[in-house]
Amino acid sequence: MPPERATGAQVLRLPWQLIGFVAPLALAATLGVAWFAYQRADAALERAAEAHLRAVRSAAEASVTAELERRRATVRRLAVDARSGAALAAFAAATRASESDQRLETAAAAPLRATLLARLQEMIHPTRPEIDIATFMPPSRRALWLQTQYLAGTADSATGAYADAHAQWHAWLADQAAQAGFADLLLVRAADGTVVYDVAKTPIFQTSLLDGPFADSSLGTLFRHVRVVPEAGAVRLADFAPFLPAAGAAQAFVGAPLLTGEAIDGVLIAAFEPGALTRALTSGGDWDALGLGSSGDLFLFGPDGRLRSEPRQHAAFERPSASASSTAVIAPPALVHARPDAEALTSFARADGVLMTAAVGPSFGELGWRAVATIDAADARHGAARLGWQLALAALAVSALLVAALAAVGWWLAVPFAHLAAALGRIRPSDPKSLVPVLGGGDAAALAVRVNRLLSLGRDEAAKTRRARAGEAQALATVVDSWRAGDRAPRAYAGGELAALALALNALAEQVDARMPSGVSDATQAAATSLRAEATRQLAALEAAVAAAQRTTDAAQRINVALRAAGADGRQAEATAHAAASAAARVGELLRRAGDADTAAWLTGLDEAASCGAALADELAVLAVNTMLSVEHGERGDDVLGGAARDAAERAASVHAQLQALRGGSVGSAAIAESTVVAGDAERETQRAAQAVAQQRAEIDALVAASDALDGVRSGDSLRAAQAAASRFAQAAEVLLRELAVVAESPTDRAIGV
Amino acid sequence: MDLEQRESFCIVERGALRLALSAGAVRRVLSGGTLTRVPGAPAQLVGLVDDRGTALPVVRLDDWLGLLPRACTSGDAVVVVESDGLRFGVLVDRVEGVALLAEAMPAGEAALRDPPAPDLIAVCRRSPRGPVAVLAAGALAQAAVAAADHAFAHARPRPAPWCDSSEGGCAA
Repeated sequence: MPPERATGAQVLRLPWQLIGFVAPLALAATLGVAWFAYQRADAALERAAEAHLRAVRSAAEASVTAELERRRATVRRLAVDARSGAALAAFAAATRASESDQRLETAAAAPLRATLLARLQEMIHPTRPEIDIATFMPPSRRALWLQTQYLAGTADSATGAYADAHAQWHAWLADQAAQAGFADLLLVRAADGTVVYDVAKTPIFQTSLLDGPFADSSLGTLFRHVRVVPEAGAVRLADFAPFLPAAGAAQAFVGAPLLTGEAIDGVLIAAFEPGALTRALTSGGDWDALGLGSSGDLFLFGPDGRLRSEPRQHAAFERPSASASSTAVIAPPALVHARPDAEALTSFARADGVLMTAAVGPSFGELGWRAVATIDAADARHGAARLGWQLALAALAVSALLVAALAAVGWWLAVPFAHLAAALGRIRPSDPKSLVPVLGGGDAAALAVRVNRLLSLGRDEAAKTRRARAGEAQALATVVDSWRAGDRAPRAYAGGELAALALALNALAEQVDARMPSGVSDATQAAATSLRAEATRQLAALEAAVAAAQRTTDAAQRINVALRAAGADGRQAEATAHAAASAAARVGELLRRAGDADTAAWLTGLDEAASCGAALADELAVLAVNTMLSVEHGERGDDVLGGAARDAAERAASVHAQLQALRGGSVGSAAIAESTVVAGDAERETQRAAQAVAQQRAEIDALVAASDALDGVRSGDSLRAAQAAASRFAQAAEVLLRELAVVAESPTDRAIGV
Repeated sequence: MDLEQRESFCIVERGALRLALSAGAVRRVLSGGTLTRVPGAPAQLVGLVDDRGTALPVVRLDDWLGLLPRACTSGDAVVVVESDGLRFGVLVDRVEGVALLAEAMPAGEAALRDPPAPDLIAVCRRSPRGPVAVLAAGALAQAAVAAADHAFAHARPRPAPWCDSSEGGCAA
């Protein structure tokens, strides 16, 4: 189980922490920035759309103004052109000449009227069927004749004065009208308002604009204005209005006086249709270049609220009737009611329900027209909506990249921490050298350095604590070890880690002291110690004495056994007895000499004598066995005994040499010499040894008794009994010495010089 | 007990054991001689000793009898045994004597139980001082010869464990 699980801690890795805590914030921040940018962009786009709308409108207005000015300039140029005056004069003269044309007299008026009426019916009636065409019939025969010729196209129109003038000037005037884009070009005689020339040959030809059937039209009004205030170069405009001679189509007129000096001869009037302005307004119909979308529009409307140009979307406007011209269409009220003195931005709902945003310009020109640019509100905001989606997607992408970057950075940052955590997991408090790795130079490295420092401090503290505890334990042990029976109970220093134990020990010491008899003096203690040491030493000495006596007893018993074994042959027995007697004499001598010294020396002598006796017993046993084996094998006894005697003598010399070495030379070489002599004179000693055997047995018995007493000492463990046993042993030894002395002083002994 | 059934044995001591060898096979007992180590000899062959001018090989019974091997000392005696024409010495702690021993003891009362070399123990007999394990001199001779053959056949010099290699030998 990981350590974090063992401690119950819920661990969330650093990269996940960063992702979990920072990623939502980053996403929210990015989306917030995107939303803010979207708002700003939306507003900017809206402003840009409005500005674009205003710019398009302004450009359209300028185009219309330029177009009007161009037409005015054209009319002004034609008015001052001498050819125009000449043409007027020619047509005026021709018109007068036509009044005296002979064909007027001969021609039947009725067929002409019928022909002209049919023609007027075709030209006017389709749009205004309620109008009585007869009212438009010219009153004079001359006008009837000329209209019939040029409107109805009768065959004889190519002859006469008027035909001559027409042939002379029509081509030029028609060319000028075509070049200027005029729908019609009129020459009106100022004196009576008669339209002496009409390029388009409309029903207005040869009628008077002062009192004729079309005198109330905008054309008549324009003529009268120009005629009343003739001014060279002055050009007047007549606004678009349905014009019956043009089959009810809307036409506007531009008029300028034809002067001869300051006298006005006539008026040059040009007509144009809304299409010309529409083309100027829309840059020739290039809607894509205008940037108004698929539903945007550009149009003009006049002070009466009616359109002055052809709208792009006819279905978007309410028409008074299906046959009504575009100039009869009324602009939406929101546009009409906009302030005329400044540009306005408004919105309105089209007839088809589409919400439009419109820029309405102020009135311009002498006719008070207003230019309008519209765009679908949805199209205007389409860019903002698309930008909003793009920003949202960009925000998500940036957030994703940011989260990925955070994850990478978190992983990179977490690597040293992961190593540090793993190293901390491997550290054992008992390991004095384990450290965590210091990776990099960041916070993880600083943390690792501090952890290592903490580990070092912790180990130092632990070591110091261990040393303090060991010292306290040692001091406590010293105090306890120093306590001896009878002493006052020790008192331990009650402090440090083992304070509780020291306090408990002191309490125990108090109880012990309370129960121990007081007043034990140092002298008593010293005496007790001395007595105890002396008793121990005495006991050790007695133990040594007991051991030596035991070994002596064993040796004696074995000697006895050997002697008895060898007793079957008299010579062998004598030789063996002699050797035994000699050895016993040496033992007795050693014991006697040892008895002159102090107790310790006596015990040492006794031990050495026992060793000597044991060695001698071994040798005697060997000798006895060899003797018995010789007998067993049927060898000659004398030879065997002699060899054995020599062997015994050699072994005795060896034993005595060892004994002398142990005694530090106290016995001296004399004993060795004596032993040698004894061995060498074995045969002479045979008799004496036989006597000594009996005595030795008694002595051995005494030693055995003494040994038994010492056995009682071991079991009794009493100093007094030990002393008694030692006394008995000493007595037995004394008996042994005395008997040995008797043996030593025998004649045989003297004879051999012992 | 029938005296005719009794046999004379040389009784010796080694460690805590009392051993007996047929008196007919024991020639003599030596003591105080100098034991000379034989290089490459097996552990049981402790060396050679002078037996009246003749080099006598000496064997130690400790390994065969399951005793802790003990180094030789000056007090140790050497029992000269002759069997099947082979004469050799047996290192013992002490000789006790020559005595007649009674009949063999039952197996459950044997002085030595489960010795490593049971062929060496012919039988256990009673004595006044306790049971005695009777060594088969012939088997002992064969064991000594086999050990020597094995050791010398796989000649691999090594010092005798009971002697200091720096010394020429040790006293017996």
